[in-house]
Amino acid sequence: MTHPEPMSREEVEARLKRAGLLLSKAQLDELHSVSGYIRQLSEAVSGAKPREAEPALIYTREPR
Amino acid sequence: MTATTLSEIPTIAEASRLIARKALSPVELTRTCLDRIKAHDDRINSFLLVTEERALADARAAEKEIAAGKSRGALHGIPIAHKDIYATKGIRTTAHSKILSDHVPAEDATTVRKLAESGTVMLGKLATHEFAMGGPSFDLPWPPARNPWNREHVTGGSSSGTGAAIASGFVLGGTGSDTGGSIRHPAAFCGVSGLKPTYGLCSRAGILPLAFSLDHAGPLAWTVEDCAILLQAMAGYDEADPASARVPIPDYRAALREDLRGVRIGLLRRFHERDLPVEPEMQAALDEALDVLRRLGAEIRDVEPPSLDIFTNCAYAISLPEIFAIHAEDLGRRYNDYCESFRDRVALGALLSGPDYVQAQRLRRQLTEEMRRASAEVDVLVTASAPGGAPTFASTDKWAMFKKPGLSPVFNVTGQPVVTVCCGFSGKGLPLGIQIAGHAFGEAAVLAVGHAYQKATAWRDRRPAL
Repeated sequence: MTHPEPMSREEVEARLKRAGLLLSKAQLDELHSVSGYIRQLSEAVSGAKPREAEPALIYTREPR
Repeated sequence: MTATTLSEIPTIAEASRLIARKALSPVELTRTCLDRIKAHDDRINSFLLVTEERALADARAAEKEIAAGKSRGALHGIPIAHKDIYATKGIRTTAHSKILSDHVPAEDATTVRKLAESGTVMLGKLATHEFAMGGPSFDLPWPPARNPWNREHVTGGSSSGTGAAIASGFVLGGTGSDTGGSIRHPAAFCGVSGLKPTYGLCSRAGILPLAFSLDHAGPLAWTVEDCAILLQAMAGYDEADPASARVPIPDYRAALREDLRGVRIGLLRRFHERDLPVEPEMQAALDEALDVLRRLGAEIRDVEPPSLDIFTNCAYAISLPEIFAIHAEDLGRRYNDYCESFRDRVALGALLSGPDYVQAQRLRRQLTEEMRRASAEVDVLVTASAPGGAPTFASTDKWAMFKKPGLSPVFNVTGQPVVTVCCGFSGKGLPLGIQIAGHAFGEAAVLAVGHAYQKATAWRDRRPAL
């Protein structure tokens, strides 16, 4: 099974570098090759929502 | 009583009854478990650390207290072990990772402490996928746990050692954690019972986090009744966990029943028939399980929630950035000290943006509400735990998580309670499992249905031959 169309190589390298990851060329190649899955995730969760749609919160009480 | 063969390993409920009437010695039971571990675990790899001296000390203390008439309840003298992401005071807690290979916590996790206060006997620390994700991996300091039903097959993860140890009769119960199915996968693949409680019911304090907003702590055991007994000790508000829920804790064991008259079951048919069609033998086992539930008196109707795809995408768009945030510093300094499957999957979290994460959390609230509406007219929900039996080690794929939706992450997104129980065996003799989910904090209903099903079927009579 082939992977979906990847993000641009430049974008992948820039985001990984900004996150502090210093990877080998082989590691970068592999992460780039599967980066299309991340693009798909982003698209899947970013559909239109009502303006007032709030995020889920995990805290069940007021902080002290 | 001396349990020398696997079929003689009692459940927690059975052992508890025997201990209470002094027909079973906690020390003898603990020695039996330790002997079994010594005899067989070199081929199963379920334990990362066996704490024999601690176990025998716990067992002797339990025996002494019980003899003095000071029973602590159903878990007094019961041998258990903890997934190695649960902090154990003075005892190495590694997350099965080189990163924490020498980590010795100064305090117990809240649930570890509560289980100890209930009188359990702690046998040691159990294998996991690295930091409760990744694996099964062969590039870690310890080998992955193997499935006791067939060692060439995976246990499921990430609570891999817990599932394998219980199925092997090394312990009577244990702890797990579940961020996307990590209690339910090993429960299904190893043929044991596993409960992912409602988010916030069991404290996460002292458990190494994977993804804060999706992590759940819970028990695994041979039977649902045993999960109820363990849950009773683990559940409850904890000030040390900011997501801990202030809710009343019912008597879970008292809520168990053997008939299901009046119970309304929602079948999540689209999940296992359309969104991720399961293998024919899994479908047949699920159909048979539904027949059993009907015969017990339950009414079954279809429920139509959103698709597995959207739940799964939502789960990963939340979990990957959360996991990356926790490990960012170590990934930057020690990338190659993590196993390949963990580091490469988690690195992808850096490719998601801040807005992606917030959108996923907004979507999560919508999906949770849609699931609540879809299931408003039923008491529990049923679907498969996995498409079939455990796959082989050779067939595992690092990127499989992105190629098909999962049957488990949906309930991490919604935070609902779910128990996985064995519903039969594949043609290869591997266990098959179903999930029984409930409304938030509806553990009693979920456990009741699971218990009734187990009492009406013979799947609990079958153990792996080691």
